[in-house]
Amino acid sequence: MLPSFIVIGILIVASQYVFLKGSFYKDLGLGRIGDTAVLDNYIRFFTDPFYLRTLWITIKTSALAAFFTLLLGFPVAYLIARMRSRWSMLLLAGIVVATFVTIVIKVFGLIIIFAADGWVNKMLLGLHIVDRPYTIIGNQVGVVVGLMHFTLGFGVLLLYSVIQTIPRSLEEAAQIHGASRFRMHLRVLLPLSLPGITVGSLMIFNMCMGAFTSAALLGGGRVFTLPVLIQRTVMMEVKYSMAGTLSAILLITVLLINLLSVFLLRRFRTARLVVT
Amino acid sequence: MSKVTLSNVVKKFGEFTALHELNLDIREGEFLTLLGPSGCGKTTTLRLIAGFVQPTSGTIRLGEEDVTRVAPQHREIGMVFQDYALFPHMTIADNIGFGLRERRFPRERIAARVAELLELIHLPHVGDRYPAEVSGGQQQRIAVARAVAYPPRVLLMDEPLGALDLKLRESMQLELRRIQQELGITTVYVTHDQTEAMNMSDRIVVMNMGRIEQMGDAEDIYNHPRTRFVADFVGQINLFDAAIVGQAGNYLSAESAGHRLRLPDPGVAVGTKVSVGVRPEHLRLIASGDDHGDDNAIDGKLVGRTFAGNITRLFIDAGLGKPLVVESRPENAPSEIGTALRVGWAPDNSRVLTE
Repeated sequence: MLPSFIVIGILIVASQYVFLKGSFYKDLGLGRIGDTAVLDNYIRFFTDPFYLRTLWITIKTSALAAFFTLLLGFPVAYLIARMRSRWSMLLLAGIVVATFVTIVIKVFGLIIIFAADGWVNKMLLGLHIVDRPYTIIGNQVGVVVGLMHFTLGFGVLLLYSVIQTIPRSLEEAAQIHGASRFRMHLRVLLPLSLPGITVGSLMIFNMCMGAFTSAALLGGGRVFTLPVLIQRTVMMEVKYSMAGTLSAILLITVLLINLLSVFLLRRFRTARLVVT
Repeated sequence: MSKVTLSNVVKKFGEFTALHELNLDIREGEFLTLLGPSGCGKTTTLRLIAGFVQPTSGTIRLGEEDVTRVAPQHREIGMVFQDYALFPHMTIADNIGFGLRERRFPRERIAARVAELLELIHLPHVGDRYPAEVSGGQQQRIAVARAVAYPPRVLLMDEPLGALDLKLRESMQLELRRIQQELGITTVYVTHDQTEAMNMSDRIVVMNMGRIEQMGDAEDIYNHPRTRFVADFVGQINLFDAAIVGQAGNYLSAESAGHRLRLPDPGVAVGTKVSVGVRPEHLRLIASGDDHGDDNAIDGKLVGRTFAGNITRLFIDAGLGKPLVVESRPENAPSEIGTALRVGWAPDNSRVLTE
């Protein structure tokens, strides 16, 4: 037992410790750092509009991606969860495989499809829906699409497992006693899957907050989210302690948002707005 | 409340035919039970009436209205599910009032109706609780209250007592019957439990392999089964093969494993192979040397016995395939396995079955 604890300790705790500690030293550039602990980097972060904007874009794109992932994932997950045939397993397997294929390959596929001369644009031009090619590469829409692309499979799997725990007879009971399908979803399915949806949206939000590849590739060097900026700060500007600060702020933001959500969820639970 | 008519209803799931040309008239206000083993089509029939599945062909009418293509929520049906299907996130009052709310009843009227129904099911103080906070038997009654809140044209119940223990199940049978009669609602009840069917129903429909085997009241089904399946499924019965060898007056003489039998004549020709059914309670032991008159008598030997409190069941091998089951008073029951015994019964207590 002990060796594994030590290995995990080094991998998880020590690595975090290193950048958290580094974040408190003044960044002298070119990989050099000062020798006294100060809050310079943090002060700089919270006074520089560029950094604040980056934090805001990161939270915004992640939240939007989480929202649309669940919105698009729900009908698919619902259909698969309620399917009676063996197709459901096949579809699920397909989603699992697609989800775990490396993101680099998938993102390049996405770039090809959405490029200015890609077939989405060709089709839109051909149908006269747009009069000039519209690209999502290098803007925030692209980043949101990239993040959704990254998390959609997880979203569907997650929602599938939530919907599966809700007995079909509850849907039928709602319907036979006068609820339309829409009303059934509103009064039965949605409230019952809300705890699962909340946990799922947090997970997906967390994944997006830390996502680098999709954001970097679809951002095209023009949209900066925190992970993209951290990579740039380390690799191109060689500012290790500033990168540590950015990482610390990303970590703390994610933690705070999660804690706040859990707190709110518990308040709802005690208020009996959702089932436990 | 209305009658329900199923005409030539066929339901296929892919290659599998769940129901073959089903014709069923459910009368207004009656308690009708669909009885049969799992896979006989009883639940499919119920779900067809509910509208959860569509028939492959045929029509379903509620009263005079053809509802074959009408969605479940517009059929005005109440249903009690096997797992009750109470909404766990709603209070019991909200559960009962669900159908009324969906039909946009004003709040005060819903509250009044819910209170009235809680009285009806003898649970006046549970309205503010959640389903998980009451017992299984209480959940069951709440599910019934929800199903009848907006007076349904027909009440459907899908094995609603299956999850309860025996004692509770018996009292719930009376309770369900009382509620049904108090409200006078046409009710279709699905079960595989023949005792339940006989205790509650005005009429029983015995189903097997997607077809109706027999329809009638409990006594009719029990005393005059028309097929081997019905005889065997409803109550206990000794069934064995026999060949008709002659006819005298209203009786047939038959032979089975070397035994000569006298059987009532349902109109069967000499030479026919039939099945003979005799209920265990109609068989009795005949002391050796006793005159058994015109009764049938078969010699065999005791191969087993089980004690059930009020009676002892004796298993007697007379070479008829399965051992004959005889119900005997415990004090008269021989105990030694291997004892030679003579079993007799009145010919009129035999059922002669050709199907």
